[in-house]
Amino acid sequence: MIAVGIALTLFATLLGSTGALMLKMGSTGTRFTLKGIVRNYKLLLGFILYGLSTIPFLIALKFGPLSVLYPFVSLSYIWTILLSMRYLKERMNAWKWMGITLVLTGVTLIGTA
Amino acid sequence: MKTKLWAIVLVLVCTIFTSIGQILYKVASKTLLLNIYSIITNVPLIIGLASYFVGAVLLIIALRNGELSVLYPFVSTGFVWVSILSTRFLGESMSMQKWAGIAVIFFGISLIGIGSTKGSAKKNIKVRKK
Repeated sequence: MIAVGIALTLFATLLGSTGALMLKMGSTGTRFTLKGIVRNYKLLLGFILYGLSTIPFLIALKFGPLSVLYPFVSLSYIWTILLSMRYLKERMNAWKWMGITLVLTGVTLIGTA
Repeated sequence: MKTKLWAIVLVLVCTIFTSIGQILYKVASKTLLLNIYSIITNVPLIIGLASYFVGAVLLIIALRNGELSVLYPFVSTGFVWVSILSTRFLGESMSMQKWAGIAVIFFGISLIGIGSTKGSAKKNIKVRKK
């Protein structure tokens, strides 16, 4: 059963990271008018994905303890960085990689405490 | 794109809202059944979603003014607020390991903050060519 929880958590992180990418893509170059926001499909899609990502995680919590699922939640930081490099042409450096490694460690520490 | 400092601060505010949302989700999950009526009449869930909505709006504004690879890791401070809030409101206990995790997260996002001002070697070459 725990495998179902982990699979659902991974699915949630993929939705969340894709959502974050869409939010970023949608957030630039839009005027913040009602018309501009409603017509911005990337922003809307990002919003929906980001919001929906919590649902598989909520269900996952019924299949496994938080302490096991938390380390998998932190994978969303890795997906988001990979997506940022691929689609936003953002560049990483040693500081950012070290920082992200510590963030993953910290999240895991909290989650397994 | 350079990441503005206030955009980082805005992400931190955003995570406070999403953390409150998560605490409310936890409260909601205790009585939640997987049917439509139970979902739409669950008050903590609705307020939790609203809190998430506010957080997302703040995140969008922040993302306009910085790099995703810099700003997104700051979302991890949500784990810090959730740890603290769940001790206060859900009666969960704080441990040395959680404090260590909080310290490591703050250290990590600080490095990312520093990294965001450095750029990469390739980027510097491009700037020089211009």
